[in-house]
Amino acid sequence: MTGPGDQRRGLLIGLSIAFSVLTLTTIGLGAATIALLSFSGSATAAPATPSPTPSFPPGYAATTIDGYEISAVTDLTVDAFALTVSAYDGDVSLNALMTNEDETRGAQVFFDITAYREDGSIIERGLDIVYAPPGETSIMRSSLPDLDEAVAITVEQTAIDWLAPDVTGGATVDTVTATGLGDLLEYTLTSTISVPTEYVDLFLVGSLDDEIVGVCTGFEDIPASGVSFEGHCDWENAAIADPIDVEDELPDDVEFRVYVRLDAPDE
Amino acid sequence: MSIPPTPEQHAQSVPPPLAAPPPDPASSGWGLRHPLVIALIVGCVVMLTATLVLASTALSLLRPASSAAVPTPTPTPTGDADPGAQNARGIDITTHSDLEFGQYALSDTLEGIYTYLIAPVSWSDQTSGIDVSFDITAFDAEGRILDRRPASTYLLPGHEGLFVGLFTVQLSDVARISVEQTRAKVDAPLMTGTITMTRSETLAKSEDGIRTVYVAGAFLSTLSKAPTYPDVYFAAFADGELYAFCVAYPDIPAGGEFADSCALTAVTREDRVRDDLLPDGAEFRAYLELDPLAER
Repeated sequence: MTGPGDQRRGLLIGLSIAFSVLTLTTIGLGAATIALLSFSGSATAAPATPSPTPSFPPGYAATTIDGYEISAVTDLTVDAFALTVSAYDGDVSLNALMTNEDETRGAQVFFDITAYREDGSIIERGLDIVYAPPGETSIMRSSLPDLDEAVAITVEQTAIDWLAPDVTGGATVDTVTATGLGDLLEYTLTSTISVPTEYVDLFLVGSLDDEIVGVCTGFEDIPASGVSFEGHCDWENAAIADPIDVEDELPDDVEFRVYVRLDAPDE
Repeated sequence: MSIPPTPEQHAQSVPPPLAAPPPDPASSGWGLRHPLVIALIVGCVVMLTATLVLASTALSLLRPASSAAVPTPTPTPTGDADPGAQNARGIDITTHSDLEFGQYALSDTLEGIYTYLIAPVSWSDQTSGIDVSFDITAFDAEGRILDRRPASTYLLPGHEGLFVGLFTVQLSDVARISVEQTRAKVDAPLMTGTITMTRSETLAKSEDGIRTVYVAGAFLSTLSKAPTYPDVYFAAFADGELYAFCVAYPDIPAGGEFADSCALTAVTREDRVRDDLLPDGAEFRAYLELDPLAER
């Protein structure tokens, strides 16, 4: 039989056990909390937040533009992303300036450009092929007509060919002026190309305070190095808070650089 | 002034011989007021509070910590907790599709380069057929694409099928696979009816030390038309696990019987494929794969 003394003893033992268990739990959780605190401290310090002029390490690049999460996985170095909008059809294009860091080999890179919905399903997947001569920067460009439901855009390298280079160089910008004809701009460039080349897609990228404000797309035969040439290009404003008006006059402080898309040398 | 205890009270105050240290032979109400008991109760309450506070702190820290660890180069966007996430041969596989996917299985790397990705699929819509295109992608540990290939399937209303993808990549290099639907066309079915396997047989043959297992099936077609260039996939299951498959290219009549066979390729979701492709209780199923381009 259990008397009142045994009951009290049982209570004491029970309380002692409860106290021990709770003490151990507290110590354990305390240790876990401290560990988590120090971990989350270092984890928040780690991710490289994209600076206004993002320069990404080779391999992986990510930024957010106009609410879209944009990322790239490639062996080229992504210097900058820009979303531009065509004034004619409202189509959005993703532009990415990409540098081939290899000083001896040209890089022909195949990209899949994919727009995703929030649930991770694909809206659209397109293709672009970029050739960048050794040590030079080219431009990846893909039209994304249906971004209504999109939350993310990825640029994925699906293949890369390292090639012996032939044509290198491109052009430098002398002047870019408004024409008064909508989004048409007029430019004068000076060739820096190693071999005169016909039918070259060229892209004049306009920046203001290191932010890309638009891309002007043109198509030209590029003469021998040192020779200047003229032409017209179609301006697309970047998806930024204050798009500039280029119809009558270009703001003085917009800086232009021209990027060419050369064909890959024959293998 | 103290009142001397009555003999009765005195008798009660004598501790019972076996109730050891405590001075008072107490009822349970008395025990609660004992200093040691009070101390322990207070201690328990303090520790319980501390436990709860720390537990909630730890939990709230866990969440942002796991999502803060994001900057891995995962080309799949947003942190979608994918209900279709699976694992086969130690490789994580994510799926985005209108079809329902069963358990994936992977072959070995065949001829040093080919790796099959297989899964039973189903389409529950009872009135429309579905023509689906996929990209299947194998990623390395750094999130680089090792191989991206198209795959496609067509399913008649309410039918099951076999998803068959082919990578040209070494399985050992693959860290992650994604199966992404790139296009789906839901439309009036290409035909009505179905095929039913009425009998299956197997045959094992050894040649030059290589053992090949064939599966053959006899079928009844109730299809409304003779399909153009149809495939029939055979799938072998043991204990409900898909362990081998193959594809045959029969002529299928619009109504009537036909038969065909093919040589099984081992697949698995475990670490290793089966050595024995004819285990006890093996079960064979067959799936019709129509070619929508050829039908139109």
